[in-house]
This record gives sequence, structure tokens and C-alpha cells, in this order.
Amino acid sequence: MVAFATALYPRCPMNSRLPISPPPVPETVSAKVLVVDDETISRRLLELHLRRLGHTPVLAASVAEARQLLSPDARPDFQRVLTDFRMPGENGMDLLSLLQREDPTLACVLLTATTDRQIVLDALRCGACDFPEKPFRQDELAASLQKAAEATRLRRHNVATEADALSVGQLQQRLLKSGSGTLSNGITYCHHPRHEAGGDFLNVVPLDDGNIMVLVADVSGHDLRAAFISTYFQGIARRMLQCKADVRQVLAFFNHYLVSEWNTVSDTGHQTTSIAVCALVLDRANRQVTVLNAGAPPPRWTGGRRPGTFKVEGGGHPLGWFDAIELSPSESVLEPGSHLLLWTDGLEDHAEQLNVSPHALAYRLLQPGTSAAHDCQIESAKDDILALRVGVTPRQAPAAHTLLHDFYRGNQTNEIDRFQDRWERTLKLSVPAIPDELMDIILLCLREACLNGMNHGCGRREDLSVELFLALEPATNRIHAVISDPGPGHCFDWQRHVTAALDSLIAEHRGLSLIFGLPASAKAEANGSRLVLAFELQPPTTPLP
Amino acid sequence: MKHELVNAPDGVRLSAVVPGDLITTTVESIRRDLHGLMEEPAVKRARIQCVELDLRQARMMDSAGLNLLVSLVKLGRDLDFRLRVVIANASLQRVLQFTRMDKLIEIVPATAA
Repeated sequence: MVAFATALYPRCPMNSRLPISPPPVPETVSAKVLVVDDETISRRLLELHLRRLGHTPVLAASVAEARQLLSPDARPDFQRVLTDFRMPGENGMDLLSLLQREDPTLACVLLTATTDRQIVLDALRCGACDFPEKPFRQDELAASLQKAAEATRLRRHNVATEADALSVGQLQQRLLKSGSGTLSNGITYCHHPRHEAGGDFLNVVPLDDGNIMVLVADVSGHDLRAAFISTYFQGIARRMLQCKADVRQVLAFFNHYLVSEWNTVSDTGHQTTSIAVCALVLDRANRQVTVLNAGAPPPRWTGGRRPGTFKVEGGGHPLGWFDAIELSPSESVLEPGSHLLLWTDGLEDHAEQLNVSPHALAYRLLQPGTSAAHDCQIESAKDDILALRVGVTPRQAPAAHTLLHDFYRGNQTNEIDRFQDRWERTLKLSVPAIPDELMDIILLCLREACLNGMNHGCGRREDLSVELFLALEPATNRIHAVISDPGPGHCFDWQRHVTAALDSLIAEHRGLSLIFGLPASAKAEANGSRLVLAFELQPPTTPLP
Repeated sequence: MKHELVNAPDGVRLSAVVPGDLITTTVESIRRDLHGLMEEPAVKRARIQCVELDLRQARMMDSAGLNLLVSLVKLGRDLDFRLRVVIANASLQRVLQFTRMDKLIEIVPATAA
């Protein structure tokens, strides 16, 4: 099971203010405290106090012993240090210096029997966070330890955030360059930014359980506000996920922030900022995919027997629009060899402009080489384009690339020329070297099959649709087409009917004869309501990737 | 529809140019135009022996287009004319051969027309 829970995230109250800082790490009863004191009685007394307060003390009689316990080999995982100042040999100040070198995030409480101002100043300089005087009361000790725990948490948070920012920055730097590439986790991407700020972004977050989370998002606008929100969202998301937050909490938190804080500053005249986000968690061991979608184009899968789309359940609107969001995870277990396709709406807009399928545009843009952007007329795109392909199994090439997955209503027979134009452009973009004669034959068969489905399978009804998908199978160098309609189908012996149609000059069955006779292979499934056709890309053609 | 009457050695031929594909969305207007031509007094008087469809501008012929050819073959049997088509596209030739229409009509490659 991946990181999403199944219940809806509760509605955020209008007047609630979620913390901007990451959620505090809950104090656990086993929080480890390193106690350093040379006097046995004092050590035991401190141990007793700490156990009463619910901590787990680890005792050291000297700074040398503490040094060993703090070494990386010991994997100490302390949350704070409690040390006496006066000790023979190395004293508490030496321990503070040691901590500065070894783990500057670990906060230290210094116990002193003196109010010597210089000692306090030196200790402050060395990073001590509190100085309870001996003898101390138990509540004073508890307060000092709480203060130290908070200091450790904040310091560690800052270090992690800095690392995250660096990581996000490095990824963004790569993405800001137009082109395509492959990330270390086997994710192939292409990015064609049209602006230098804001826009689309991709973030891949490794999760503790070995799963990965892929965040694809598109911030509205391309100004500095958009750039800030983009960076802020990525940092917050990464940090909250690492703090074990559920991704719905991340989205709910940021939605609340946008609605309640960012977008309320209306007097500046800025437009509402929103983020369309698709979060995908991939459990590669079980080939399980879970998707949460807030207003982004839904991810598709490809490569198996049939392509599919993760439907958007619930609201599905971008973050920043309304104060409440309803996000329902969509889950699927995919076939081996399947790949996931994600893209932002810039790709869909450009596909529409070119009158090609978005699948084909993504396929072409994700191909290596320099001609893809030119062939796809990227220079005329109006918005950023980000697309990526994620293998369910790392480093396994897709068994098939979906090129088109469309639905045509039963009453759209008079629009068949428009559909055919789209198929032709789609195929030409995907397989530029396709021979003209083969192209004509494919188009003819698709036309006949779709018209047949609309007329007979759908009865020309508006509420029924023919489904068409086209896929390219690199291993066999074939183009596959599957045409399905919701009708009952009927058995058909095409060879007998070809003869009958010719001999008796009847008008029927010629379409089906073409469908069954022209492709390299054709078979009818589901009593003929689903046609599976294959067309061979005749040699010589450029080897397919 | 552009057309002409040609006095060929084997009789008068009505040659009509089909301005594009012969497919579901065009076939009805082409059928109407052809029937209109057949009814013209000059064509009736000429007692044509051959109807030629110039399909050099066509790239596609679907089942509706094939059915138009079938109906012209039938009409030819009634009115005593034969049908021939001029084509320039390889896939059109393949379709006509596959459906055995080449046994019923004369197919002329564009280069030979």
C-alpha cells in the first residue's frame, strides 16, 4: 500500500490557520538524551529525573566517553545533550566545541554551579541553549530539555530545508533548459519552458518505504509571484513528505495557504494564483500506482494490452480556488512493462493547436534526439510544456507507445474527415518515415471501422461512443489499432462476404471487407464489437526507438 | 464537375473529373453530379459507350466510394456502357484489386491515361 489513505481529507475550517513551519515532530517517550557528568551520584540523579520525564538517558562519565557515543559509528540519534560544566580534564565547554564540530544541530543544556558571566557568554558562543543552575528543580530541568529539543528540531529542519532547496534548485536548473533527458530513477522527461519564471515543474521525492512520489504541477502565471509560489510549494511539499505527512495534507495545507493568505491580498491587483498538481506514488515492487489530482491533466498509462486514464474523482480543481478541497486517490495495479505518462496542460493545448493526439506529442517529445522539438513546432507553443514517462519497472523500455486514445460519439459520423485528419497528423508526427501507401491504408481501415462502430455499434446515438486507440510496438515495428463499440457485435465471415459482394454486386459488407483484408492482421473480439488491427511498417524504415 | 465527351476509337466516352476523394462525405454530391451529367441532352444524344472517372486527385476511396462504382457498373449493364477509372494513387489500386473491382471495371494508371 502506498502513502495515500483512502478517506477524504477533512475540510479545512475557514478560520483555522495551519502552521507555515513544518509540523512539529512529536516528542516520543524514547527521546534519547546524552547525559555527561563525572560525578556518579549526579549522573544517577539526572538519570532518575529524566526517566520520570519520559526520556531515555544515555550516560557518559567524561567528554571522552561522550565523544565515543557521539561518533557516527555509534549512530547515536540523540535529540539533546545535558552536561555538567565543571569536570576534570575536558569540561562542558570542550563538549560544546565537540558538538559544534560533530553535530551542530544537537542542542546542549549546560549545568553550572556558577553565574560567571564569562562562562555563560562562552557557552552561548559555543551553541549552548540553556544554563540551569545547580541545584535545579525538576520543572526547570524539564523546561530546559524541552527548549533543547525544540532547538534541535529547528536546526535539523533548517539543514534539511537547505538541502531540499539545493535539490529542488538543481532539478529546476535542469528543467529550465529546454529539452529532454532521463533522471537517475528512470524517469524520462521533456521540458520546454516559454517563460523564465513560474510555470511547470517536476519534483521527484523518494519515500521511506522505497516508493517514489512524482509531483507534476503548473503554477498559474509567469511572474515573480508565480516563481515564488512554485519554489515555496516544492520546498514545503518535500519537507512535509519527509516528515511523514500524507500528500493530501500537503495539498490541503497549500490550498489553505493560497486561499487564506496569498490570494486574499486583492488590493495589489494581482490575479488569483493557483496550482494544478498531480501527485503520483509509484510502488514499483507491486506495480501499484496511486494518483491524487488537483486540476492537472490526468495521468495515463501505456504499454500494456490497453491504455488507460486515471479518472479524476471529486472536485479535481486546482489549489487556490476554494477553501475546501476534496481529493480522492485513484489506484491501479499496472501490467509489467507499463509506463505512466504525465503532462501539463501546455502539452494538451499545443496538441490541439497541431491537431494531433497529446499521446503522440508526448511520445515524440520524449524521444531522444534534437529533431523532436522542431518536428513538434515547439517554437509556436503558447505555454510551457512538461511531459514525463515513468516506467513501472525501472529501465524497461515500453512494450508499446500509445499514440492516440480517442472517443467518438455515435452521432459524429459527419465529422469523420476531421477525425481522419487528426489520425493522419498524429501518425505523421509519431512515425515521420511512414510510407504514404501504408498511411492511406491505415486511415481507410480506421475510417471504416469507426464509421461501422458509430453506425451499427452505437446506432448513431449521441450517448454512445466508439473508442479508438493506436499504439506503436517497437519490437515488431507494427502499428496497432483497437476500435471498440458498445454494441452487441455480430459474427462475420469477411472472406465469404467479399466474394458475395463481388458476385452479386450488393452494396453491403465492403467496409468490413476492407477492415479485415487490408491490415497485416485483423481479428474481431467480443463478437465483433472490438476490432484489433495491426499494420506493418514496411522496410526500409528508420529503426524505431 | 468538369467533364468532356471524347470520340475514342472504341466509341464515345464521357470523362468526368472527381475533385478529390471518393468517400462517405463526398460520394453523394458526386453521385448527384454524375446522374445530372447522364441526363444532359448532349450526353443522351451521344450514346456513350464508356464512362470514365478521373480519380487522379483522389487519395482515398472508402466503402461508400466503392459502392458508387458498383452502382455505376449496374447502371452500365442497363444502359450498355462500361466503366473505367483513372488513378494515380497506389493505395487506391490496392483497394480496387483487393475488392476485385478490377475484374468489373477498367483501371488505368494515370501515366497511361
